Amino acid sequence: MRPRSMTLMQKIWLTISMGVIVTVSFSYFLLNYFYQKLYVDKVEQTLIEEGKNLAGDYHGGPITASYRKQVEWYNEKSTAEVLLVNNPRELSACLPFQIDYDSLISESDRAKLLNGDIVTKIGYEKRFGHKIMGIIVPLLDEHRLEGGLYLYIPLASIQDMTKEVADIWIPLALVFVVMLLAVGKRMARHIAGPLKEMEEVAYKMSQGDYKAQIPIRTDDEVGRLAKAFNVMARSIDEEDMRKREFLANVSHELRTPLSYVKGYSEAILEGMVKTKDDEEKYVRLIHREASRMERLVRDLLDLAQLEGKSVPLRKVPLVFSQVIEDTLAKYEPFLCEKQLSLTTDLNPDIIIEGDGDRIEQVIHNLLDNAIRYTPNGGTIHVQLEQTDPRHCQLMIRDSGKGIPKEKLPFLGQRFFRVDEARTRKEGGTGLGLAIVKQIIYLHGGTVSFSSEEGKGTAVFIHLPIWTE
Amino acid sequence: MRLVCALIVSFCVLLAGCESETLPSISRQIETLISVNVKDGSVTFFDLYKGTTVAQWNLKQPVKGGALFPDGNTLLLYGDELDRVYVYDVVTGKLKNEWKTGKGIVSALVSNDGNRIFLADGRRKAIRMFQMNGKESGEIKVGSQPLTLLQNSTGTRLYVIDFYDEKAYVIDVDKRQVMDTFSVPKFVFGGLLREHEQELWVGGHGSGSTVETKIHVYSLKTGKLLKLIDAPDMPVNFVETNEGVFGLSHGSNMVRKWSKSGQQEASLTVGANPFTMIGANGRLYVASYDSDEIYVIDERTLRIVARWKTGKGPFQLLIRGEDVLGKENSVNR
Repeated sequence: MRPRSMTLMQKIWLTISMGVIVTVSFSYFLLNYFYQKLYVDKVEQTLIEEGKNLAGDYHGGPITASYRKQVEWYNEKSTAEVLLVNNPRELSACLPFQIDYDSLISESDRAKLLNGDIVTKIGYEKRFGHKIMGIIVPLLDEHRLEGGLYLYIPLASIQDMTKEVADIWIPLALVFVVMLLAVGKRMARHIAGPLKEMEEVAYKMSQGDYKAQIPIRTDDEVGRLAKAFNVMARSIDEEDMRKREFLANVSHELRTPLSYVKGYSEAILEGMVKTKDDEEKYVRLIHREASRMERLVRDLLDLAQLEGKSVPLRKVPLVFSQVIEDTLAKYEPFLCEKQLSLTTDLNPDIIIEGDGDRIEQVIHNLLDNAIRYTPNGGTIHVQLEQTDPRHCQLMIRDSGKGIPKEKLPFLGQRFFRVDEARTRKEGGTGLGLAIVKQIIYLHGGTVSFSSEEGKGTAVFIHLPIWTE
Repeated sequence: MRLVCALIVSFCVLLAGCESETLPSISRQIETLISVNVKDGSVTFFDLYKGTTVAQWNLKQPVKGGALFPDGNTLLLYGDELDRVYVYDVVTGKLKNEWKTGKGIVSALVSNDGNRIFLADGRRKAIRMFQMNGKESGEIKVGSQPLTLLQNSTGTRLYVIDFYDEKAYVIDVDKRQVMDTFSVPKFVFGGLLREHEQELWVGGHGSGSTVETKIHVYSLKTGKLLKLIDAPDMPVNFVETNEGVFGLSHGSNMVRKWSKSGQQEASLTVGANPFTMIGANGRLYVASYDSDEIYVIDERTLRIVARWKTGKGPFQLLIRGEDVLGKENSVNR
């Protein structure tokens, strides 16, 4: 069975705990080390000084009883143990012989003492049965090692000192560690908590609940992640809403012509139409509604293609004014029909990089709208000009009834109509401006509108000018 | 032609390489004091009269002692860590022979009849007898550390005093067997055989932290302890000459002089931790172990005559010459 892996919180806590424990123990050992070292060094210095002073009173020859007494007296007064060693056995004088005797002064110590050096001993000394810190000062009469002054203090007394420190230090350190561990746990929870909430929200979202939001408590990386998560959730929610709205719109748009088609065709089939003229009228109506459905489906398909970028644009350099004029030419009959006057002011030098058909579609849709909403005898003005060295602006202004200000921001949304009933009657699909917006967006441009109620509407298209 | 020359030269080089290392030689005419030094594994040769260093052999081997053959020119060197004893020709400085004895040789003594040499083997716990040509001729089991070997003037009796076993062995050399044993203290070391007085003087280091301060005198006849002579601290070496009996105490760096009847006559502090001495031509030569010196002392006045620098840790002295007193009593290790 695979062992259960640790949670992030556990990992963070473990890391903090390890850090705390390692730091505390390391500092303890360091403290101990320095304390011992400094203290032991000091003790050694003191012992050497004392030993030298005592040895200064020895003036050669065999060790006298008075000198021994002097050392003994000093031993009583001193905190250190002071031994005067002059037994040749203890001085390892019988060294070349293998005597089963553990001398106080070893062979190597003797060699050092004979050289006049002071011997330092730290560690367990079998003869004393415990650890000591000691020094041996030689008492030399020329080359003759008459004796040695052995000064030592049991290391236990040094360790007692460190123990005292430890007695204070260890409980303090324990409290500190426990405190840090508790704080560490809180910290770990604080860091990993929002992640847990995010996990829950993500699960809710997978169930279709896009309303859930993560409370943002901090402004750190996790907090920012939560914020981004919330933004993402909101976007998904909006997109979901748009999708549903879109479906509702599409079904609504199709339902009207379908009911026309169904109603008139039923009337014909059931023989409710009496005259030939009526029958033709009904069939014409059916045909009109079918055409509308066809347009609707075509526009939807167009929009889907543009949004999905499934059909890439075939961009080539175009003389913009030429494209506009060609399109306008196609509208002459409609203009005449509605007695609209068209004025143009086109800069012929502007070249843009674009897909000819799509640009034409833009002008087409915009003119459609202009013609549709301008009453008979109105005017339409088309203007193309360079706004700056890199951009141009196409403006199509009509003298229609205009759009209320509060509705301007919704222009270009799919199925948005300023006047629901009328547009449908006029035969629009409600997708024209959406398609325009998408095409211009794909050309790297923008669309904006200005309108004054009762006076007319102007559409502005900004496009980058083609440069070699 | 050139090739032949080159071949000859390389052959000569090869021959020279094969030959054993030659040490400085010592002329046959010079009476010599030989000091075996254990700290640096060297042997120092002094002109006995001039006091000059004739030669220094740096063997760099753990030698502990030596013995000089009756011809005066053959020096045997041994050490308990060496697996053989080395036999050198002093005159040529060449290694004459190696006797593969195995490790554990702790003492050597040339028989006074000049026919054999006794090697004390601490591992075999035996006295091994060798002919002068290196052929082993017998083995007598004794104690575990037979450090002290003494013999009578004819070389027929060998006295082995053990270091650990608190026992002395009397060996009949011809029969190759232990005739008698008697008890001695622990860690006894060094002795003097006084045939005329029928006494055996035995020194020692003492046991444990107790320092030996007495010389134990035993009867040669009965093996009984006759008396104790004060000689603090640690008497370990003795020499008897026409001037008297001399004892060396290494613990107190002291040479004592007794009359033939055993009365102490004089004493002298000498050297630093001296372990051994030897007498010749009215002089005593004391090896100062810690200060690497030989002290030359006038036997009669017990005054220091000269100090000679030797190798590190002089541990045994031998004399090559005519009048060697105390040679037979020098303790070998």
